[in-house]
Amino acid sequence: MSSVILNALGHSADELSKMVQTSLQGGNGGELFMTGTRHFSQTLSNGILQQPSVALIKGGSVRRINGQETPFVVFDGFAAHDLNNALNLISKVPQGKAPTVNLTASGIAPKTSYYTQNDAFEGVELDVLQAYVVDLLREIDSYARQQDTRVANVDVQVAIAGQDKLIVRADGRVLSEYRPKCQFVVNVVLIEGDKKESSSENFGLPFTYTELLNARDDLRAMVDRCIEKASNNLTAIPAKGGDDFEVVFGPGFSGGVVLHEAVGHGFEGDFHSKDIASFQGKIGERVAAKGVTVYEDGTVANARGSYNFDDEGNAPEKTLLIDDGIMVGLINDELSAAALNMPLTGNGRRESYKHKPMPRMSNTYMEAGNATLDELIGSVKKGYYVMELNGGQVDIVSSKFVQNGTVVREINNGQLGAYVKGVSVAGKGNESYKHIIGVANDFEISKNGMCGKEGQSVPVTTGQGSMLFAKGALKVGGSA
Amino acid sequence: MKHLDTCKRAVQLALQKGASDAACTISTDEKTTISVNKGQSEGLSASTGVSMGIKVFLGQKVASFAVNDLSDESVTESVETALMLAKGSPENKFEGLADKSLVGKVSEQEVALIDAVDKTAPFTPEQMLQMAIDMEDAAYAVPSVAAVCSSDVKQGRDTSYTYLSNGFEGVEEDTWYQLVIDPVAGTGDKKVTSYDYSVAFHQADLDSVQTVGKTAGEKAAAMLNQVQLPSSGKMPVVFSPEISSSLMKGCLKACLNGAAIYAEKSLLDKSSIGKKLFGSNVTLLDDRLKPRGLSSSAFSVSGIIGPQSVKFVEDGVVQNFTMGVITARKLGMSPDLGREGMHNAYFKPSDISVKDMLSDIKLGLYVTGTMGRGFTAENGNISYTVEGYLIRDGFLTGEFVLEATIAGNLVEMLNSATFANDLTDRNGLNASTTRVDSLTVS
Ligand SMILES: [Zn+2]
Repeated sequence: MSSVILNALGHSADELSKMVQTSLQGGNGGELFMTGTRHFSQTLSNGILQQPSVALIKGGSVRRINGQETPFVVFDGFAAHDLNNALNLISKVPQGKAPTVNLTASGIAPKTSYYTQNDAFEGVELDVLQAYVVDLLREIDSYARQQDTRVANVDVQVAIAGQDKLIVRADGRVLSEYRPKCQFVVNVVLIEGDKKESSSENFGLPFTYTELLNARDDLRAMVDRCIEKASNNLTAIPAKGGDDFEVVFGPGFSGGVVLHEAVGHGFEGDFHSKDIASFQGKIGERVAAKGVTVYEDGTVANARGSYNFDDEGNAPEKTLLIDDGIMVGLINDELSAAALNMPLTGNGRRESYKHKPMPRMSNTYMEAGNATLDELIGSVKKGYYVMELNGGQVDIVSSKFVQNGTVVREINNGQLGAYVKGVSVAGKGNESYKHIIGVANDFEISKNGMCGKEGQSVPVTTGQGSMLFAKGALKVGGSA
Repeated sequence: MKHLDTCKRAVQLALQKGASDAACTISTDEKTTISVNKGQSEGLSASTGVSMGIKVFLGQKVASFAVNDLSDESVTESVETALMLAKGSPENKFEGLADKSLVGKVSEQEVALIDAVDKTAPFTPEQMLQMAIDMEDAAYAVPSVAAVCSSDVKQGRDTSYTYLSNGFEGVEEDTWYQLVIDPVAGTGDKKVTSYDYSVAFHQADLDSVQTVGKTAGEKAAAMLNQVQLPSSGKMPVVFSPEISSSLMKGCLKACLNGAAIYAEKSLLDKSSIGKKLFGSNVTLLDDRLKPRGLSSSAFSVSGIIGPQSVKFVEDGVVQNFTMGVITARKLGMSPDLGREGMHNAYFKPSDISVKDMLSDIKLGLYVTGTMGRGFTAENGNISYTVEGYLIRDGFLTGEFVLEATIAGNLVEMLNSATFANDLTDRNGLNASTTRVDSLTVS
């Protein structure tokens, strides 16, 4: 095995494996987790190029599993002294009183990676890369200003990163991989008279930098969408609220965010093992309308949420969560799977080496339906068509969720009406999904998404076709 | 002061290699956390961290580099790479360190006054475990508390070292202690959750674990007595100090932020200074030297010391924005306030008691929680999903509304806001119980 991290440590995989096994012996499991990340970003804001930023961050942590007790030591850098110190500290933690658990490991990483293993920087020097990025930023800025004279500000950022990861498990397995990441974010502000509206688009995909540069048409299309959205919102009128609206969510991120927040989090095994989940004890029960089938899937090729092995070193899976409206599965890491005596699903993820893993989503999606978006909108007497949300929040205990709409139109008697602002949509995840009337065939998986849980952020995606909630399923908050 | 020496070495190296200016900051942190679940330890987490940020200037050309390896080779590589990138960067006329005439010297007396370092020995892992167990027990002792999401005890020490080629050097250090618990009351589909916490630089200033656990448990249990909002429309809304603090912090940080103003992302603009945009009851000021204050600071990263207190809003008139050196140049303002952010800011309380504040409300909502991202800084629009208790005939009731929506606008809100006399200092930005009459509740 070749690994940048092994080289830096000056150990062979076998040597390191033995060191970790010695440190963690006597427990039920655990691992050494190390990453080295190189990051370059540059921003153009209000016509001015901001300073380029580069970061080189490396470090690791050791976790030992003693039943539900998981002592954890973090260190910065790749110095042998710090690694040895951490392994030594962990080996001295007394065996806890917690009962032992039977951990399962779910096999080895795939032979073919779910994304390119090529260097995100493709070996070029940073100053060469910088010149390409500066050209792109300037081009996007002037493109935006050419499209509409009301453009008052353009913020555009490019970030390119690559991460080497190494996991050495208590059972001796050693896994390593490389993950490239390109992020493009654009925000456009439009001013007309005394009205000001802004809109953003972003994507973050496991690309190399030339793949990003070659996607110029897509990047321009993102600018077009920002201008269109902000322009429409300049005409938006305050929305009326109430609990008698039907609500259509657009495909991809719009409806997908609701799925992630309202349903996905309620399926995370750690909440179930603590008896605090809103979907507690509902396996085998109807939790959504017939026709609603939902997967959690870390194996989608080139998706932002995918990984070749999770942060405990287990392979990701395609896990059925809801089958035709019936709850059938949970999202588990090693600890929650053991505590619940449920299958391990390869969902142990963490924000960085400074964090312990926990059950997290990756790519969560609802299968496409048979309807069309036009049919869904055409069937609505009084409602809203929510095209974009700015992310939301969920209370995993009560299942209450809220989403704030950023691009929303009225629907009256099957016809799209005015753009409205100030719409929030609230519901209960374990109730509202029973009242889905239709899912459309326009399935999309998002190109962006970050999920926060207990202070840790991880990249995720969500996907689905457009969907329609019946009157009474959701409460709409307005601003009128 | 090994790390301050490293900062100086990095800056000197940059200057030797041709930089016209350079700035270096090293931050270190140590943290231990213990969580319990159902009386059982989830294990001690211990982490130590260090990171260095170096920024180099070639006239108006700039680049920065962040790294967490402080070996000589790594520092040299960081400086060289940053210089290489700065060469390729276009000129940015706003860049540059603060003018030498603005740069100050950190005062030992001020550091002593802030008193951010607890000399008491930190808690032992055994003590932390017992505290987390006791806090969880206190929550479980409240009838109808059925589970606890987590009961956490954390402590740490942060230090930062700054050296700038304009001659400034500064070291800042604090210790901190934190208790957090979020219990669940009720079972099945009726479960609800609340939380309580205590944060302090000194052990002696922490609330007792029994108080925090009990308060959190009682907050959750009280939420089980649920009612529907009896009617929708404009009605008085009273925010608990906790919610008022966080709501105001989010809204005002976005609006009074100079960088956002320059980028057209605030409803305020440069000409807002001196204008009376809010009600006469609204005065927002800060105090960077508040003893043991959660966001006290002896200096700003630009090397400017700044006055002890800055008025951001006085009697409804906008007086200042938060801004660093670069933002100040962009806005054509002086950076001499040294306020990149607010330090222990608070809304000046009135002398009205909460009881009197509620006395004329026939029907209103006392908000204890908000959800969602319902604030738009460009126009001040507010639309949050909230929860809280009904106010009826002048009194707070125990009738809990799990889900309501408030909608309105920040400017209108701050034109009708009254701040009661119960100001505390639990947070980095504080507000007392706040009444607003301009919001629509549905
Ligand atoms: Zn999430």
